[in-house]
Amino acid sequence: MRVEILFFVYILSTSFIAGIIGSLLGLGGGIILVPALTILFDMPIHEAIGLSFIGVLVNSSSSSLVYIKNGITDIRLSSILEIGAAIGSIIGAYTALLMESNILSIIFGIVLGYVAIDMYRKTRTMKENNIKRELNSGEKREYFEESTKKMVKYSLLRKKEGIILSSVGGIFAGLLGVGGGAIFVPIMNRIMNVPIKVAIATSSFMIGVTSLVGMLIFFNNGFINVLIVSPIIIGIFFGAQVGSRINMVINIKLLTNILILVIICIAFRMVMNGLEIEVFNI
Amino acid sequence: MTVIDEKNKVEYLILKIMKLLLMISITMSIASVIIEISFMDQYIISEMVNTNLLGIDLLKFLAILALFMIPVIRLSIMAIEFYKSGNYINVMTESVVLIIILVLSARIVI
Repeated sequence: MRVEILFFVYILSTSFIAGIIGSLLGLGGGIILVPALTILFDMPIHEAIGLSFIGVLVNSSSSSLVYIKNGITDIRLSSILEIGAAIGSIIGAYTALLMESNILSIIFGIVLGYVAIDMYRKTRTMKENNIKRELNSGEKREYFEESTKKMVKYSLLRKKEGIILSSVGGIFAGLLGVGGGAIFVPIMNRIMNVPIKVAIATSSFMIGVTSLVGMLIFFNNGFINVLIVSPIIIGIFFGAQVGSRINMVINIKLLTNILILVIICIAFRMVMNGLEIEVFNI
Repeated sequence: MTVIDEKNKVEYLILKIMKLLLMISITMSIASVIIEISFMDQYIISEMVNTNLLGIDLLKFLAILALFMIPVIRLSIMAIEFYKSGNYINVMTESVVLIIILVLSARIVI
């Protein structure tokens, strides 16, 4: 069985765009890829989630290379949180398999809405360097801050809470085929006292595990269409590379605001799809 | 100083292996797309392309396998390095995650 060339090109370009947007917003490809595959290609949401796991795995590995090279990833922290995230991802993936497509679509729309709001909040309060972090208790850690050329010290707090809450991130990752970074990053940053840069890098590193767990479960249940795996891998990889380069040369704040609006529209469309209400056809 | 060197050694090893596996996966995916859209699979290298493993043709299988190996190998490296440096809690967490992944994979193969 072969795939039409034009369909190949469409999937490749969709993954490429998902990779660019994901990389620009630091979200991974899944949050764009799942709605794109369901809305544009009428793909069943379970199949879209299955393919999204592969895209997220590629994106996570590709961005982790950069973060590890720059020494930002906290490998020891990731190893502690991964256990909760992996277990959560198993729960999430099996729950997704039991759920109706409509309900899954509505949940996806709601989570997308939350992500958009969270991103909007972040763009208004991005003053990480001014934040005085707790240094007197907990495990002492440090990383090299490229912009100031200094070592930044921080203390790791509330590890137990972090492990428990990371399983919530894992559940969402397994349920929706997204990386879970939108949940892992706030957990590390706000609860565990980890600087935002380290939190993003560590989350990106951890996502590899959650997406692999989801991928294996979906593959075992026949929800990964192997015929279109290749264009997704290529599209997401090159999209992420282009996105990270665009990130350095354009006004990211303006672009982020535009993309937030796009995400809100997608979220609305996903909820309407779930409710089986026709809003606009693409 | 020793701690920093140990940390850098692990990071360097993980970085090298992740890079290599990602490149293998991308190369296999590109080769698979080129062969499929150029209809070469019907003529020149049909033996290779038509080899099926778990219901997937060889190139796609290798692309997915390389992706699968990224977290597996890095978890193994981390578990070994944490064991060497005496961080037994980290060894335990890495091993549990690794076992989960291997059990899920075994369910596909068996």
